[in-house]
Amino acid sequence: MIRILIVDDDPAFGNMLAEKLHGLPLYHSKAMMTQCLNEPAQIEEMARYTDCDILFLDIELGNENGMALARRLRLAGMDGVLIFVTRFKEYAPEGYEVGAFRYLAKNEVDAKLPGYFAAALEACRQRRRKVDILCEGETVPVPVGALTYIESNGHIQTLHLEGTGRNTLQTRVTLGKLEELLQPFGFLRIHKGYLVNMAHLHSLKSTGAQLCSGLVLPVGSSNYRRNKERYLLWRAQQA
Amino acid sequence: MAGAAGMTITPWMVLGVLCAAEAERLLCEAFFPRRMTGSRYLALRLCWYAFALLGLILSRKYMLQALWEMAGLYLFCGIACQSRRSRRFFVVVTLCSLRQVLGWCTQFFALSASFAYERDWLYEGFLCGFYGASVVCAWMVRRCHPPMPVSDTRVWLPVTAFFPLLTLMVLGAVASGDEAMPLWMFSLLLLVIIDVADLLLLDHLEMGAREHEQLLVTGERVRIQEENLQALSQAYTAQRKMTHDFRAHLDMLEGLAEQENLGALRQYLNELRQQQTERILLVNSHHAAVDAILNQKGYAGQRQGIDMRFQVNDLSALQLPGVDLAVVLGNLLDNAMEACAAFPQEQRWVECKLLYENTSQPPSLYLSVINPSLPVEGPEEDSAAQRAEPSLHGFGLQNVADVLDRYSAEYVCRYAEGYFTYSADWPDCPKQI
Repeated sequence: MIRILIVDDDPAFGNMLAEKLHGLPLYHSKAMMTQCLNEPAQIEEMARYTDCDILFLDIELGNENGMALARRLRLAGMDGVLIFVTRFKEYAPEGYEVGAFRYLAKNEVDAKLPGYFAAALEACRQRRRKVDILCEGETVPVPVGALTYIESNGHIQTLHLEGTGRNTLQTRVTLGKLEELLQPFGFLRIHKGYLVNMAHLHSLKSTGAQLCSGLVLPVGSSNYRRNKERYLLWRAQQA
Repeated sequence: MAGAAGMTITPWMVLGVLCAAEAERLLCEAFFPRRMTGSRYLALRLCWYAFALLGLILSRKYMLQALWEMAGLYLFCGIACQSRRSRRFFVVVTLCSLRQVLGWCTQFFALSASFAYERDWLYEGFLCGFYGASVVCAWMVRRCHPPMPVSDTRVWLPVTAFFPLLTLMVLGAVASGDEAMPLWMFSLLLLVIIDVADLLLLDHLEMGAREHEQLLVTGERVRIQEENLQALSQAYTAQRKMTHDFRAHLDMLEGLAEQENLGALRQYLNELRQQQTERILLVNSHHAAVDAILNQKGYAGQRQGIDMRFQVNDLSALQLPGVDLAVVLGNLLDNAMEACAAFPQEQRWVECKLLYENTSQPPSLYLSVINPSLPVEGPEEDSAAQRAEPSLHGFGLQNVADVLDRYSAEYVCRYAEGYFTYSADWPDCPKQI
């Protein structure tokens, strides 16, 4: 089930958007839960809707600013795909800070909605992906997005996770096998002892790899150029 | 000391070989830029002198000595200087042949003079003068003819192969010592003159080509600057128009407020909000030059029916020169928009990211442009290490690479699965490295 939230102060537009979404052949309408919010009082209770998968948010919500609202939602933990709906587009740092996925102009809904929605669904799928890894004798479905990096200590590999119940998991699966398994999901072997999720990589230099958490990991010199090229290409392809 | 043929090696011979080796080294550096310095270079030079002396000890045959010397000079030049193999071969063969020709001529005149005047010191004095003169001449050539940057062009490959091979053949004929030797010697002299002229001509042609390329690059930059200026002028005009309207709206609102007509005031405000359908900036990164370029390209793309998507953060701290930003962004976006034109309107889009990262040292600008594209001919991947021919993606990509190289930026460009991607990590240095 995919949860979609539409926030627009114009109820007619919100309903029209919901209808169009249900009319798209990309996703079965029965597997889609759509909710429209347009009353200021409802909008104030937005914190309740932080678990939505895709959020269509109007930037001009009467007296409310959609950008400020998005910031509050992100702070409250909403990690869904955010599509701003607007009368005119303005690409600004504020949009990047709240992780805006697309800007949908209200006069371009018919033309742009199918493509944007398809891309948003793909992004949702990627965020939900899990891989099965044999950890301490049992198969654990590890959410790919939460796995920041894997560290090798001899025969034991430590999986470092973020935003889940456990911060670390340990496995005897070799780093080479883990690399093979996780490479399609954007993991990079930056060092013979480290495998990093590029989604959690802040910068990759020949002197070290800095994670978004601030942690700096060592970088091997032999594969640096190839790794840097892979990282640059991967980063360009991220929405 | 005795040579391979049992003949005595005199100090004059040793001096002659050392002077010739030094002269050849200087002349090589007149054609190729050096890449080694300091103690490593000094060690290599000593190796080269030792190699040349070893040739004297091992063989007294002219041809074998000449080949030994060529091999040594070729190796020395390959290690110490930046050079292409074919051109290095040409230069080495020419220099060694020149040395042989001049050596024979000098010996001939020295012997003639010493026999004619029956004075042994005349022979030695003649040789000494020749050795000194050859080093001084080589040094002067080195000073007057600075080496050209290594060119990638292979247009002149047949010339750089034909003449040295011909010279080698004639050198072999001279060394055979048959009856026609004076004739062969004269032919070799002529060929060496032609080779030297050829080398100078090639340098001249390459310099001309390089200047022509620079002219094209400058022309391209001027075009981009003109477009940016036009974009800024349009933005300024639009701003003036809106400022003018804004004053009129303020007057109207002030009038309504004075009349205490709140209903009409609210209605007017609502109408204003509804009518405000355009803004000056499509992209607002807080950096004037970047905004000028992105807005100009963004609106141009929109007019062509391209979905222009941008991702920017606060670029106000960016210190990179506007001219370089204009060349890189202008060319990348132009290429992307041009590639999109081949697709139906619903499939036309360009995604551009410009993200300033100030947590690293030095701070850097991450930039990427991605767009759907028809298959691009040539190598699949282009990076700082492996550069594609500029003609494959338009002349602009070469300009982009030139600018990024000056900053030691790390970049990659690839066509795969229907998309063309250019991605770069550009160190933010106000002055290029």
